[in-house]
Amino acid sequence: MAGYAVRRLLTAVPLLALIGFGAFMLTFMIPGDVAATIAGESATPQRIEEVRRQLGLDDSALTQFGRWAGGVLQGDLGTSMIHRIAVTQMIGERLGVTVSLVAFGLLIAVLVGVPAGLVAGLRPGRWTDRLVTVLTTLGLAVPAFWLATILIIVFAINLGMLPATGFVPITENPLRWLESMILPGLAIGAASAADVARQSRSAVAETVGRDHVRTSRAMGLRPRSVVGRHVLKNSGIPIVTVASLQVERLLGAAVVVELMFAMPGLGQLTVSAVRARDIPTIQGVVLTIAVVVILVNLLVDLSYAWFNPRLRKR
Amino acid sequence: MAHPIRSALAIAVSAALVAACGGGGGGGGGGGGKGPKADGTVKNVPLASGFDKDGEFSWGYTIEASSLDPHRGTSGFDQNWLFPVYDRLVYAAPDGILKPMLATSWEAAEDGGSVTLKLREGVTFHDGTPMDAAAVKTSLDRARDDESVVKSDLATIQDVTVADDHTVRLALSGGAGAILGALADRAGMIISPAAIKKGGLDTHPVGAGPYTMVDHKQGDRVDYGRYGRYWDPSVQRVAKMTFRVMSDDQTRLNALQAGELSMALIRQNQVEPAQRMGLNVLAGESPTFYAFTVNNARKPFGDRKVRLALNLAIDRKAIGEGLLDGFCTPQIQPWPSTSWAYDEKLGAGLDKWPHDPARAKKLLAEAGYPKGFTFTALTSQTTGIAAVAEAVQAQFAKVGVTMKIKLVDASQKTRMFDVEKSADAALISYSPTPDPQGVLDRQLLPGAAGNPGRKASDEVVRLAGEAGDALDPDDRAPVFHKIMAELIDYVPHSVPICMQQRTEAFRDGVSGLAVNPAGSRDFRGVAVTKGG
Amino acid sequence: MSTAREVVLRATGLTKRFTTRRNVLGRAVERLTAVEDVSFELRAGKTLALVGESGSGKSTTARLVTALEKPDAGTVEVCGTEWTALGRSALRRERRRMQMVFQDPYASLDPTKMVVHTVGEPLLVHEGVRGQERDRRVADLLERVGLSARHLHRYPYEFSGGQRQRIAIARALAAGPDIIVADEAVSALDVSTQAQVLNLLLDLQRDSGLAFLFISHDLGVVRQVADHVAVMHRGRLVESGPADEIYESPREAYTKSLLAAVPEVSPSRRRERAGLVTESSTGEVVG
Ligand SMILES: Nc1ncnc2c1ncn2[C@@H]1O[C@H](COP(=O)(O)OP(=O)(O)OP(=O)(O)O)[C@@H](O)[C@H]1O
Ligand SMILES: [Mg+2]
Repeated sequence: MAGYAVRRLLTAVPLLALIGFGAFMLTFMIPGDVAATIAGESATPQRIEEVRRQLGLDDSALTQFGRWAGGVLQGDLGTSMIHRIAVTQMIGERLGVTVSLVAFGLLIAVLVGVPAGLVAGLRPGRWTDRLVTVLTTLGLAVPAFWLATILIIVFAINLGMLPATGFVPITENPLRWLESMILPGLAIGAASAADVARQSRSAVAETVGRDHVRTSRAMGLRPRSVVGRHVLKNSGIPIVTVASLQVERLLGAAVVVELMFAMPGLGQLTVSAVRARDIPTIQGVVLTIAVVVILVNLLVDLSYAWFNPRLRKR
Repeated sequence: MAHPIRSALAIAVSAALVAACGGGGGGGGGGGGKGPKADGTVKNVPLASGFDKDGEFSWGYTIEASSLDPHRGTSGFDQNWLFPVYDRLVYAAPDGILKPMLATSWEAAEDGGSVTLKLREGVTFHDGTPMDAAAVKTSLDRARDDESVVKSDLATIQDVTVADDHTVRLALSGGAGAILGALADRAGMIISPAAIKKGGLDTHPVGAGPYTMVDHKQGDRVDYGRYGRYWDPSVQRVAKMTFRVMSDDQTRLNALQAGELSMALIRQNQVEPAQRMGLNVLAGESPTFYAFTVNNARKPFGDRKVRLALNLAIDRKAIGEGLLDGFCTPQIQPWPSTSWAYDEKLGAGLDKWPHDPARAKKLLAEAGYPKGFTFTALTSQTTGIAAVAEAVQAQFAKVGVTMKIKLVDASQKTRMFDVEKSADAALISYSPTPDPQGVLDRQLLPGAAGNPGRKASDEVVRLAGEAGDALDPDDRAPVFHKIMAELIDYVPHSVPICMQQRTEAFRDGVSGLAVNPAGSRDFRGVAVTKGG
Repeated sequence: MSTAREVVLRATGLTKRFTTRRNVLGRAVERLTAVEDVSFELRAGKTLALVGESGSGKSTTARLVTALEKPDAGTVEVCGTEWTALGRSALRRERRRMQMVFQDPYASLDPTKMVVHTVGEPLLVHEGVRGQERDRRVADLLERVGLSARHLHRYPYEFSGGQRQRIAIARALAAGPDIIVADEAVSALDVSTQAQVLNLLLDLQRDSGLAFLFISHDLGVVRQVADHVAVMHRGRLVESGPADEIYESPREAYTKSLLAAVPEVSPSRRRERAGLVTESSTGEVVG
């Protein structure tokens, strides 16, 4: 199992290199000129060229990539061209926000989605099942920004129960952290909860129809135990798979929601970096997100082994 | 607009006046105060009596400071974040008049070759370092070094010398008046020399302003706290200030409504919604304007008749009052009506370049384009100018001219239009410099970055040489009026369409506010009442 | 073999309809009658085979008698207790009397559980047996079905199809049932494995007097194990009676057509082919 994890991590290395290279090349395709931005509004063309030289932007793409990749290997993602701060520091400060948000969204997705899927899947065709189906369709159809708007109007502005903007680090004040997470977490978590519910429903329905589950029921096992001992674990792989797919979806939704709730996360950093053509920052964020996604996938793969004994003995 | 006080502001400002105005504490009865306007917006909010000395003022803005270092930040909006921390040598009051700040008085040499500034005594930076002539020299020298982004604002300074502990002399190559305007903005922010030595100014600013930076969360907020040893406690009317980054327009309104902000920038189309929510709106002209600009070295823009025809084809009223809901004042002068450079007699000048498609067609025919012509204009996606571009496009079409629009990024526009000179035309949003002279230096003169065709009226070039010399705006204004008259005749490559208004919404209880004619947000002297 | 043996399972007038389509409001607009008015008796130590083509309602009948589904009409009586009238917890306690074995050896065992847990589950549920005591009893059960204690801590994927069916049978036995309902229990196995598992079932029946409700579409297999045969067609029982009678002189045209479709129905030839030569079981089967 440990060997499997190590092997998986090693296969991630070329993937990361590829993503890093892709991210780098992408920045050449973004139109705009960071040198013109940095040189300022009144800069003469000569001054702009000078800034380009200083930043090394006049080197060939390959040289620039080599320089960047060399730094990355030493844990240095470079310095933001705009803010003149180490990219690792900027990402470090923002990561907590996005990780909080995605984790919270995922928590909502799982805590709401799995039970809903279970209730529906255990008794397919019943009114509970149909209700869940309607709600999941709705949940998947409602965009995060729309839901966020409604939540803000109702809970922040009209009821004044929760903040409309801002992020409080959990280390600073756990209660206020929770308060700051609820609305954005719900906004991004709803679609994921719907997706998880839908997939859980079909996984559970499929499992419930399996002979060994019927045997257990016929044998006199309590319905609760049937679910706990057989249904959940056997539905585990598709549920974990869909839950892990949510990480990517949530990261995407986080960009919009961070902006709407004025949370200083990676999404917001990406948007401002792209606007300013801050190449090192864009690359750093892309690489960081790639690492996060790869790690999540690794965890998921390792969890498959827990659900499926067959994979364990490899 | 009459400026009775302006005449009182002599070349040297007397120490008595300094004491009387207490450093020109903030908002109050500032520029063009008319009280509530017809649309329910206000131009200023006089200080309310029962404000809360322990209050907290919070402001929401669209973008964060690129850096908190006045000399290094790349964004033209960084100064908004810096004002609380950094006092300038000179203070540009909301009425546009320059008042003492760290310099208590200034005097130009007879020949205009230098300006001598007397510095305020007993002032210390937030780190305890005394503010003296040496500190000012260190700061100004840094502002003029190669890495400085404000270098061009101080281009006329040849040398900075320490005359005595509290006197500095700036040797100038001309433009003594223009340099004072620059010293009221980013270039004139004085940084603690000890902090310069220590480094880290990008995130830890150390100035001599009324508030110290308490906390800075990149991408999120800057928290400011009252500086206990500030030289003018009367402007420190709130205990704390927080400036927050909220790039989403709706988010700022939400935060205001939820009471999480005292004030925030809003878009012009948000004025009515904000008012319906019970928020107050501050609106006033800023020196930022939309302009149509061509490369007059490219055909057919070198022809005055063509430029005039295009000018007459533009319907400024329809854009400013129709399309932009009256939040953009149609005019041909590149200065706001609150600026001393603005020619009151000329006014908006819409009679000089009237909307006259028939004459435009005739002019085009005379120039050899009876059937019009086709060209491409660059436009930026980010500043909301795209809508203006589309309106201009439609107006040009009516005189037979086809303008294709190419949406690019602002920096890409700079590259294609200014540097590579590969574009015919552009629709831009011009961001101002502290002194009105900036329009000449950056847009209109042959050497200006925004003039890729390198052509200009010789008379304007000659007048521009004089325009910055005098210190007193009253003496400079006539030169600017002459320049404007010459521009009308010459029809330059770049012409204003309308002057944008700055709009901000604020909650009840906020007072001591005024629209700053320089366009930046300086909340010096802002106050809040309890629960406001 | 006397008909005087007690009836352990009695189904009376069982009927089941499924909703196959609903309108938007969830009301049924199309129904299918899967089982209609099915009645039969199964006596202790006997094997009743339920035969019929695919979709004829055999599995549904099995689910009805095992109370996995509620009939729309009719009753099920197990060892004198009317299951269809029992409350949930009473029914759960009664369930140990009747256990199921299914067709698909890959689906009939929980792939995430080790054999000891699967087979030990009924022991835990009905007797509260756990720990070493459970291990010992599961090992005994495994030996009864021809496996060994070595297999206790293995997962289903480590076994062949035939072995898995043996585990499924061990699990059924663990509850100490009177009746085993085997729904196509050998259909997925190859011929020789089929024979071994059938042998096992017959041995068990002889040793412990189990009654089987043996469901199959394969009349060849049925011929080897059934005392009585009930033929289902479109949800109804069209013919039932002692196995010999059904095989030798079927009355219904449908039964005849079913038999005609089976290539080798002669019991002796079939047995030879399958290598099923256990003397004792021969007697039982032919009965
Ligand atoms: N849960 C259900 N919902 C709807 N229809 C069902 C359901 N279960 C069974 N049916 C239908 O009832 C009929 C009888 O099915 P059943 O599974 O009892 O047949 P079978 O005789 O066991 O067939 P096979 O030999 O294929 O296993 C079929 O038409 C089937 O489609
Ligand atoms: Mg079946």
